[in-house]
Amino acid sequence: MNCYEIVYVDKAVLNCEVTSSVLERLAQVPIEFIDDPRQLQDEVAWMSNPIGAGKRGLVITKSKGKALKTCPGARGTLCCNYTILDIVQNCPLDCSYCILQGYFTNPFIVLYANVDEVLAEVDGILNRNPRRLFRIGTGEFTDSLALEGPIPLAAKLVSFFADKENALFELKTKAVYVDSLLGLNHRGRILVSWSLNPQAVIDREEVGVAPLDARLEAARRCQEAGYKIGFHFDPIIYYPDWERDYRGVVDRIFELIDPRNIPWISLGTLRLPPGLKPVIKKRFPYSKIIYEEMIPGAGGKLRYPKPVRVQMYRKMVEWIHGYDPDVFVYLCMEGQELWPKVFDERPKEGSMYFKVFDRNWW
Amino acid sequence: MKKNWKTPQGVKIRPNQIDLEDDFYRMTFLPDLGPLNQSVQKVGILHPVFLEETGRVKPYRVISGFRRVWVCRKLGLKEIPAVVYGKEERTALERFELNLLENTTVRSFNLIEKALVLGKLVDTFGVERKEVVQSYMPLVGLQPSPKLLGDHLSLRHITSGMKEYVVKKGVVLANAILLSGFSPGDQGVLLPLLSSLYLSTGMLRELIEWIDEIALREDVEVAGVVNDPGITQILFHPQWSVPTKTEKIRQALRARKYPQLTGMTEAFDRRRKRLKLPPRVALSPPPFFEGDHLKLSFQFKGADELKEICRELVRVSEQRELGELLEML
Ligand code: SF4
Repeated sequence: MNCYEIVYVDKAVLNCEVTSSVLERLAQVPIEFIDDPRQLQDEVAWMSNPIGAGKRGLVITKSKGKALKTCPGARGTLCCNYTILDIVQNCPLDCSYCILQGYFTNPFIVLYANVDEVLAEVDGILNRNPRRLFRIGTGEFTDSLALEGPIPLAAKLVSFFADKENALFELKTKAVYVDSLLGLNHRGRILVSWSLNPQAVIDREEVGVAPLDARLEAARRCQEAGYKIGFHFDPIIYYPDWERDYRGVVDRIFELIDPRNIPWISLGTLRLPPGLKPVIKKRFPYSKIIYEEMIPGAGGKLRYPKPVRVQMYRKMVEWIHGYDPDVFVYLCMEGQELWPKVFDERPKEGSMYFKVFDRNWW
Repeated sequence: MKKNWKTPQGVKIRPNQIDLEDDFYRMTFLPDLGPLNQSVQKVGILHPVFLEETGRVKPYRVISGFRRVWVCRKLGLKEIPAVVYGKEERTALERFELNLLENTTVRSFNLIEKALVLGKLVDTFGVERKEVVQSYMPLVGLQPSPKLLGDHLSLRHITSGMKEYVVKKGVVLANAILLSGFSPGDQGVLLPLLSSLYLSTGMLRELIEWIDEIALREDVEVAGVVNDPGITQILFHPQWSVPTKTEKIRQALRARKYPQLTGMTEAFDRRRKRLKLPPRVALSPPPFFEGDHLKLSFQFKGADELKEICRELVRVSEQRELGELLEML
């Protein structure tokens, strides 16, 4: 998919292989060479819709930070130990509830072209911690596959992580660009996961994003190619017909995907940092998700009151386990006290996750 | 912005020759004319007003000095000292700047006036936004910021009635922006309600947001929320004071905005009552019922009172209702 109207190239990465390859693929797009991405801030300040405009501009620059970052889970919630491989920031897709809107000071899609350096750093970290199992993904600061095409990184990452024994690599996406993954030797170590919502929610809240059936078809193709398949119902959105619609999505999953190939399904009801509300109101005036009853919860994020969340989670778990009680379901960014209300068993801090993942995975 | 003005000769003009309806250069909104009134009565007009020749029935429009012309009219003065610019002398923008500079030397602008100045610069005089930010925002007492400019420009959508409310009640920018998000009709519906209540900045924000969000969630008009019998009965209650009405209306809107939370709070209160807690002992849920701990606090003066409280708390700990309260978390 090419949605870019301009590419800014940091002169520091002119000679990187990734830079040349991306520029070749985006030959029709105007290029501007810059000394420092920070100089774009001034331009951004004058934009009436910087977030929207940012989705049409690509900045190719050099990563100067850490290669792996801890997922910014909220305080007081049980963490699933997700580690973010930081090579792309922001996303060309446009979901009303996307937490990345305004998350980074730079609204453009940022690609760190020194991928090889970043991966070398990851290699070092994995080697220095052979006993620790790292759950790593690219789907937190961006969508893992939405940039494929002009920026084909997935195949490189799959090949890199395929022989890492202490890493569990997850490509998390709403996109359907899986062709580049199908012929790879992933050694059964890579998980491709899809964020799902009912088509009614996709139509209203996920602008320009692949329909539900297309996502599930892409998942089916990846299953056929031997990948493990994960699903994330995150955010689950409350609306009058939510039960009928979400149940329909669960039904569709198990029509197409063998539960033995599903290491996990995560659940998380809608969460919004309070500052996101005016952004959604302005950018998605037809969206009503922000008007539901929401209260400040862990980390100050707005969320549905606990009884609503518990009811939604219980239903989802019931429907999923109706197909296969062994499919591991976990809650994203919820406090420990909620788990016993949803599940029969209460997980222990942190490590419990990996035991469970371990059992299902390795 | 050019600053060296060549001033024409001063003249005396009859105030009724000045068209005060013509607000092309005006940046005054709801001025406090009291002090000026007194000073003019005592010493007359010290500084000439600046006028522009229009060639119309009332041949002059005010460039600068609206307040002085108003006061002269009110006091029935026969003449007012003025400097009159011919049509070809200076551009309209330069005259507006003249007004702006005159004003900045003698007073500060209220929120609506700041919005008025910035709006005219952009809309009427076509000044580039960058130029407005850099050269004009500091003049009206604002930080030069594109975002702040955008915020002030959004106040263009406020009705004149609501502008008066904003100025009279000293409404802060953030709340004024929220008000500007309502249609003129909805502002008309809101105004009588807001004007009848005593609202702090935070309370005003809450109220506006709740009304807006209830209307959008329930797909009803703003009027359907504001004129709900549950609200109007409070508003027109003959005995209740303004603070009482304010609090009751807040509670009513809060309950409609947060039905689950309100239900939980009420259920918690009912069960807590049944516990019959000793005096000066408080038991509360975590904020918004998020978390799994109840909070117990008490006060005592002496050891005996403490012992008594502890005995009572042991009794409370054995009651079924306490388990029910914990179950709620
Ligand atoms: S796909 Fe994910 S990252 Fe992209 S806009 Fe939607 S929520 Fe944000």
